[in-house]
Amino acid sequence: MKRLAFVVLLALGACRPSSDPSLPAPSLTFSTPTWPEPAWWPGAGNGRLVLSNSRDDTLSVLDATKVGQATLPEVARVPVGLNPVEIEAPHHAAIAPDGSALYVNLSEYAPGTGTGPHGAHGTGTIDGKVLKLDGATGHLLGTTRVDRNSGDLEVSPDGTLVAVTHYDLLRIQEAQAGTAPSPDARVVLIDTASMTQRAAVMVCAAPHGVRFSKDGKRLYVACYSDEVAVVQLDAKDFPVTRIKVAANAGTAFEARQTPYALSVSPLTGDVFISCPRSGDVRVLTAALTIDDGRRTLLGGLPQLSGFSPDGTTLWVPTQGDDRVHAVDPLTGTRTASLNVPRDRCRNVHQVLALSSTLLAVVCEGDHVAPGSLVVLGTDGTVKSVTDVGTFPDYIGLWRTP
Amino acid sequence: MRRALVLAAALLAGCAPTAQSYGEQLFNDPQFAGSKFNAWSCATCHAVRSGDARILTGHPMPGLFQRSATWGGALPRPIDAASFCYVAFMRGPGALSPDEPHSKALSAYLQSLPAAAPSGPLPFTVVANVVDVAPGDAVRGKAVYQQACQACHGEPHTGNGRNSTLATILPDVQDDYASVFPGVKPTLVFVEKIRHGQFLGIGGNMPPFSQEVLSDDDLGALLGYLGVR
Repeated sequence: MKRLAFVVLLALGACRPSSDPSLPAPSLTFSTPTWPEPAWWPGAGNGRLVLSNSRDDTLSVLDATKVGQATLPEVARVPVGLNPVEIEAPHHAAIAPDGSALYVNLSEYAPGTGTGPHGAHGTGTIDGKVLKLDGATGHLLGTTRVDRNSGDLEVSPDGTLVAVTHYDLLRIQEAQAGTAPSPDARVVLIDTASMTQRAAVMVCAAPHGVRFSKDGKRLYVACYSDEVAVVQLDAKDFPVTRIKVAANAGTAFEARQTPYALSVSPLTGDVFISCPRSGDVRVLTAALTIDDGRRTLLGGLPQLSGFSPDGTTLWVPTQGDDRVHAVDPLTGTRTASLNVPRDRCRNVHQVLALSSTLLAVVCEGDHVAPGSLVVLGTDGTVKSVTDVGTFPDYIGLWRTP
Repeated sequence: MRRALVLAAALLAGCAPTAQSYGEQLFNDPQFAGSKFNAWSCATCHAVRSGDARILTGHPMPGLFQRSATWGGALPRPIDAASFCYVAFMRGPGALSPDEPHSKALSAYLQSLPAAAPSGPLPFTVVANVVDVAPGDAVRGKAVYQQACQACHGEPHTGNGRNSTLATILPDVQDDYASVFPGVKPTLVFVEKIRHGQFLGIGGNMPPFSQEVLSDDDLGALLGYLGVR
């Protein structure tokens, strides 16, 4: 009887397989689908506008086929990020040339979000991350850790690289205080297939706007320290050339122009640099010389510009006066200045020229209430205004072949 | 002997786990995370049946797959929510793979729970910027403690019954606050820990109590019961 009880106990013990994930699971038959998920990802459809909302960890996705109509609906507001508790501040995004993936830059810099005795969250001391999202499903395909205060990012024309800047103003303060060896920060180059760092190149102080040349051999970087850094991507070790944007250019500690963003002409390869502190757009030629003759004084604080599809007009938003300016890139002449509806659009941040007649203008708002996307005609007519998430700071056109 | 073997064989044949039953086991077993430092299971924070009197940081599991998102809308995919808990709170080694048998079994169990009408995400408001809360009714606070805190922290002052020696003993942990947070009212440190859990620069592996599951009144009552000043 005792033996019988022992065997029964042994058998019952075998009824409970281990829960340890390092051990094989028991043989199981599954009759339900594995981890069903709701329909949440809008996909590229027939074309989308994608905005990153840096203060509420979302992307706004709009139907690009409705651009120009009186109503431009937000198709979806999709959450992004790895941490559902903290604001991770998606600051800009980039879209693969074939539309197969979206890259989102988590800057981890969200002032004022989360305070207590442990301190204020989002003071720019946490390393950033770049997420790769599957364009078809929205699923996370990979993550790459980058430096703190990640700024702008851009995909190379062939889709194999993502370049990420780090707008690390904190490092400038640290260098000035003697606690950092240099005010300079790095550009990280990410291999998009593996989502690993291919290189991290020290470029300049607080690099922000970043764009590839049309042939993908150069990377242009706008630097707070009154210069543009040019990274030669087809040379060993990625050599960097730093070019001051003005004869009276200052330094990282005493900057006078503070380049923030740039656009590359699709026609000439010239680089147009938005300089908020000097209120102008400056031109770096493809031969890497500053062309003072084409400097355009705009008055406000120039932000992220964009070329018309045919490359004949540069559109530049300026904060302070919240206007959008047309600039002739061949002469530097300002040819038009458009107003935005100020009751619906504050703090213009970026212009995307969708056609020869339509502009998409990203309005940050007050960083507390929703921002907006304004579609303007190039004649200044307001076509539509769409509320988006909080503090939008990027717009891109997402299409698949 | 032959009788015993026959009986054992019969028992073994009858006890082969199903995906659902194995998933239920994983849901309730801290060992699922594979960390000897983990004392929590999914059931520590999530109810699976109505009438659960505990005040839980996590949402109820029935109806999970009918919601449009979890974590107040921050994570649309249930597997991402499960993975986040698995790594952040249970010290799991990495995100759950949708095709891995343990993960699939957990999903099978969760799918076997009662369904609900399709809905949006259940609200989950993180109180990111904390402010001090005045201590309140100690009687109510005792009930709150028993429903919300005791399973992990054990009895006040002794920690008797806590589920891990890594859980602090309340409210005695405040004895260190004068040196760790000089000049800060201990109530504010408590409020921050309860509202932020391990997040927003704090550390540890406690989950946050949202505004919806723990009101400021109940939080104040808890402080009153614990005698935090």
